[in-house]
Amino acid sequence: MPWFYLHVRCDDELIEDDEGVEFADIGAANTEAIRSIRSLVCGDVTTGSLYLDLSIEIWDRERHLATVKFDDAIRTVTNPNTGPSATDTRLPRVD
Amino acid sequence: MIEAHLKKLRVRDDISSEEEAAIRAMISEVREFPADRVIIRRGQELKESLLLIEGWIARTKDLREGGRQISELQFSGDFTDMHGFTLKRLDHNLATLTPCRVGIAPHERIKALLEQFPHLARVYWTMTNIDASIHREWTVSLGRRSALSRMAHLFCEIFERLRIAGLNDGHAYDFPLTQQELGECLGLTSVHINRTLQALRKTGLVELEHRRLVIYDMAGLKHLGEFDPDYLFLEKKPR
Repeated sequence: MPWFYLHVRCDDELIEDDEGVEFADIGAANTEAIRSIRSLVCGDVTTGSLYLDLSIEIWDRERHLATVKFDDAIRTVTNPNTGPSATDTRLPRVD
Repeated sequence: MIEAHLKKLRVRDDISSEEEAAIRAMISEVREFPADRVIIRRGQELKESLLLIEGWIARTKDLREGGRQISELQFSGDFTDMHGFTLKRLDHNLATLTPCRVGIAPHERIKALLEQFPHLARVYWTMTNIDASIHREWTVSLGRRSALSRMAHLFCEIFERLRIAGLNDGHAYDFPLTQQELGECLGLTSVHINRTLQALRKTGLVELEHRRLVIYDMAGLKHLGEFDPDYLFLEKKPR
């Protein structure tokens, strides 16, 4: 399986992934990036912070392949009547 | 060969030389396994238990989407599945994290040992009780502690468990886990682990570089992780 490196960018800080992780393909790496952003946001919110400028850059050994942003992973809902439902397909489900 | 194991037992109770000889005689053979291998699969019928002589092993449960959760770590000198002696199968896998040397204890030999030395039956009962205590502590970590605190707690636990077997080096120890494996222990993605490690490094309490963990401020790390070693029962008492 190919190796991917998932670097986190948060408020101008880049946290590089020197180890990398094996995924079946870029789609699986993308799913992991979405899962990771949701997990990071969960942890941050419980400590009282929410970084909207949060993204994950997916690289192989040489190239920047894709960027997953906060908005790609989390939909902000302001009207409770339009809140997420089980059939909501506007954002990917990764659970 | 099983010195680390004897040290761990002797932290909790006296073990006589006669008992020690009987424990040594319980091991019928030594097997070697490469890293990243499931050596006991959930549900498989068991006729022997494994005493980890050297290496790191994880108790793991597979998840439907393909990931796994590590529910406890085992280090050199731990009896990885003494509970398998009575349960006859495990509800989880045992997977090597590093190359491992494992002593095989056939169940009929364990039975004979425990019948001949009822005191050792109580000592091993104590050890499986301590495993249960470690699981309770992990439940608290996974359910209630922040990522940072959870990680600090695990680093403290590993430190103490290696220390009592004489396997650490001052305030440092070799840390063979990948970020992914550390994430499987803490219920976090490897990305989250990477950022949490970065945050922990910024506290100046600890650093993980090149698979080696160095603790600069033990008291600070314990405080951050809410770590109290009482759940490891590091006191010698007649059992």
